[in-house]
Amino acid sequence: MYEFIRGPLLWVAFIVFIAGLIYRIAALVNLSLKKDQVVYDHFSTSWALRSIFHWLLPLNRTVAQYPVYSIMTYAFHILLLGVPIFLLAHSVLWYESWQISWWSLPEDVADYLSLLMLALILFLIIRRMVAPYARIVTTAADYLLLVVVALPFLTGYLAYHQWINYHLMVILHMLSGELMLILIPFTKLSHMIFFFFSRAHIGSEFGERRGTVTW
Amino acid sequence: MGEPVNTEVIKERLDAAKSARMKMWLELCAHCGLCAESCFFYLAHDKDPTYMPSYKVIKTLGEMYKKKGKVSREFLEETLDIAWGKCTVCRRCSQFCPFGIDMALMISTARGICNTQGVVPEGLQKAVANYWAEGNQMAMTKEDWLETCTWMESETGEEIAGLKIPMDKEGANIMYTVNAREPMYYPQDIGMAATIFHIAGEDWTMSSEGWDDTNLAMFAGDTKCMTHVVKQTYDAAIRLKAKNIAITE
Amino acid sequence: MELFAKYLREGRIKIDPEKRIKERVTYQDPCNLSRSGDLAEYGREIISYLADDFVEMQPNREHNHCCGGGGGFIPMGPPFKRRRMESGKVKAEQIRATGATLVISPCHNCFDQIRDLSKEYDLGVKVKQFKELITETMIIPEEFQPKEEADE
Repeated sequence: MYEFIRGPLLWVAFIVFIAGLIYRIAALVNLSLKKDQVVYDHFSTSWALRSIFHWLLPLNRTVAQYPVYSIMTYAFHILLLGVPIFLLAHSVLWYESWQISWWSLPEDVADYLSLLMLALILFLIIRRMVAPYARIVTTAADYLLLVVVALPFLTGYLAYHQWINYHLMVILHMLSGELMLILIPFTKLSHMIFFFFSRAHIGSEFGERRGTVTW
Repeated sequence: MGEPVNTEVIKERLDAAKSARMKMWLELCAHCGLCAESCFFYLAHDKDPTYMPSYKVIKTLGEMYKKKGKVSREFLEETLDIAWGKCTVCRRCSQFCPFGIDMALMISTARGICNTQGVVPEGLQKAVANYWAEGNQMAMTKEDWLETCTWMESETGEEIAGLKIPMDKEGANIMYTVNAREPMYYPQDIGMAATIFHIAGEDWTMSSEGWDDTNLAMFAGDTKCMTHVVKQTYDAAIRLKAKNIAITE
Repeated sequence: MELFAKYLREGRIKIDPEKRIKERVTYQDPCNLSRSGDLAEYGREIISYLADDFVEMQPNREHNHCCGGGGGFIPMGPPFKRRRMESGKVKAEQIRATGATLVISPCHNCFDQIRDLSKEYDLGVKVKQFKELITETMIIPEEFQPKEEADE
């Protein structure tokens, strides 16, 4: 069981993740060539990059309007990418399989960051339930995706502390991580790449075409 | 009211509008709610979330796509209430959305779809009919237009020596166009513009046709009429061999 | 509007310093010009020739709020008038905060909307377009003075 999830299923998850994203991008570009001539007419690399830059970093008016939420979501995204990549336990696995290694977080720091991540997700869930402007547009899928993101952190934390059942937790941890990878290309999680496309477009549309900024 | 809705046409329009960017926007919205503060309708209504941009798009165009065009007349009436009555398509939300989703364009698309079923505010419907009839939003006849200009020429000419309002002059540097509300309600506006052009020594003209630079058909969501209006002005400029088109305030 | 700015810059139209506007003015950015048109600075440039006491609305330029008369709202007429006034509250407050008594806007929708808002919210502001202000304040050179007057 463990070997299967650690081996073939992980491969499947990574392949679906990568191939899925490539497919989605190809389909989008293909459709755009047919129906979005106007986008190409007004496209500007410099405006596109500026648009991405101002929104990847907190250099825009929306962030200033929602300071608390902005701090929370920036922390959320940084931890979401950073903790799994720089976790020592993951590094060891990479080294075992590929003999590659890089800097890792001290174990106790990673431990606290995982807890922080869970707290942030709880905050995001509560915010969706409490803030009227978020609640009115929130769907069940939005909550589910937050749970999907929370699961690898929760199970990883439990496994590290060997609470409940270590073996079961490790299996659930890997399964939930793989589930998230597989879901990325086909759910709103795909914003990890489409964010860049969308921002490039609106930056060009306002900037190149109309000379005004969108941040 | 009770007239049936042609869902085939709606479906066609929805498919035609489903460009790559539209598809991406429909899927991308994270329902974060950060567009709320950008909208003055939301702010003016004590932050009532039903006025926030993303909600308005989801309730109109979003529903249409979800139902694949199979919507009722009541639904279209509700869409009218939102897409025209709770939005001016000012595009401020498109500037404030973290993902840069062009919500104003999506509301415009919803308007266009209502338009195919004749669900359009009366005032705009009238304007569209006027554009077709006389080429301007006020249905001002050519005689009335020319008369107004002549009247303004003589009235303003009393204050400014040598003032002329050149009509249909070929090869001018500037072809000046106005908002049809000006000759209708504020004819002095034309006199003022003429004064400025005259004293600045501009080589300018006005056209007897295609002189209305407003395009309410765009707000009505009527693409055919919209094109007609733009083409009129463009054709006039070509006919008069004007070098530039100037648009009124 | 770009054209007016050019005339003033090139001195083809000159403003009489005596007639410069003394009261406090603010500028309403029309969405089609300032948000979707890159013309925001021309408005400021023209005002710099016309008025002494200019105060910006907050926010301004491409981030300014719509007046509430755009998108077809004005020609939608009486059935939507009430709503137009309610949603114009934001604009009314922006104007009030500047303390201006004259609002300049080079857009006919904004013009009508702000005039209506002034009544609704008791702002006590006038609305004018550049055409009107320029013709009121400019120097009319000798050769353009009407003949009768020259005879007197």
